[in-house]
Amino acid sequence: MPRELRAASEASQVFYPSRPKLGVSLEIGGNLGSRTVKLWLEALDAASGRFVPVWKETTGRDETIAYTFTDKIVTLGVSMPNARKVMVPRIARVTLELSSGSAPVECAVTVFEARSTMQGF
Amino acid sequence: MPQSGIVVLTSAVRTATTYSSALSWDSAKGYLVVDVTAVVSTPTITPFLEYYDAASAKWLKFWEANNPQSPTGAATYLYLFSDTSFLPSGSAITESHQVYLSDGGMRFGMTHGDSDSITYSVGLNPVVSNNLGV
Repeated sequence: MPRELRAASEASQVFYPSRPKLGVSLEIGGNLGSRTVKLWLEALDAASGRFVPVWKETTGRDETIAYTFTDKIVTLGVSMPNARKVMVPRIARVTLELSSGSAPVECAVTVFEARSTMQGF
Repeated sequence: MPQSGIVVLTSAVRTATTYSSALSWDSAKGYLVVDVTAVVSTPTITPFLEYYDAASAKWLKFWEANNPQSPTGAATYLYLFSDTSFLPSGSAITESHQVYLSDGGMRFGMTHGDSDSITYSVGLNPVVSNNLGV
């Protein structure tokens, strides 16, 4: 989701992670005001055809946060304070939810896959 | 092409305990999604999973949700299964459980606590794992 002014909530394109470790960075560009931004990672549910949240987090600050989703939390706390225990769906998307407000918010979301030493991933 | 999930139960109005047919599932992990779209009155549901025991020709329960759910409208419940003790939590997850899923000899069931009507579907959806791709 490129960096641009957004007035309402928005979902990303569907993507297909191939690794169990995934990074998602959220950039908020300085005009958040009193609004909050919720970032969701969602999985496609085969039965309902809906995307269902598997992780969500809220921020109310103008900042850039890089979350790392991992299926092996070991000692990531110090060096990776934004690591999160999440099982990464095979069919996924992210959704940015803006709380109500009048001014658009400049923000961007980037998804990247991360490597580890486990079984070639 | 990514591995997609399976439809355990299609969306339908139900008033009594329901079972799926035998499931084909070749992963040790997954997200089970119960998607409730309508209710009448105050239904209560509890999902569970069973293995088939060929010797006794019986289905045996090996997992049941800790908490029955009594939705008052549309609701989604997300249950996470893993074969390891790594169990994510968080506000998006209804319950996380360490269980051993079966390939072919497993079925899903939903206990209905009463005969109040409830419409729901159930899907089992894959995750990416670091354990040899399963």
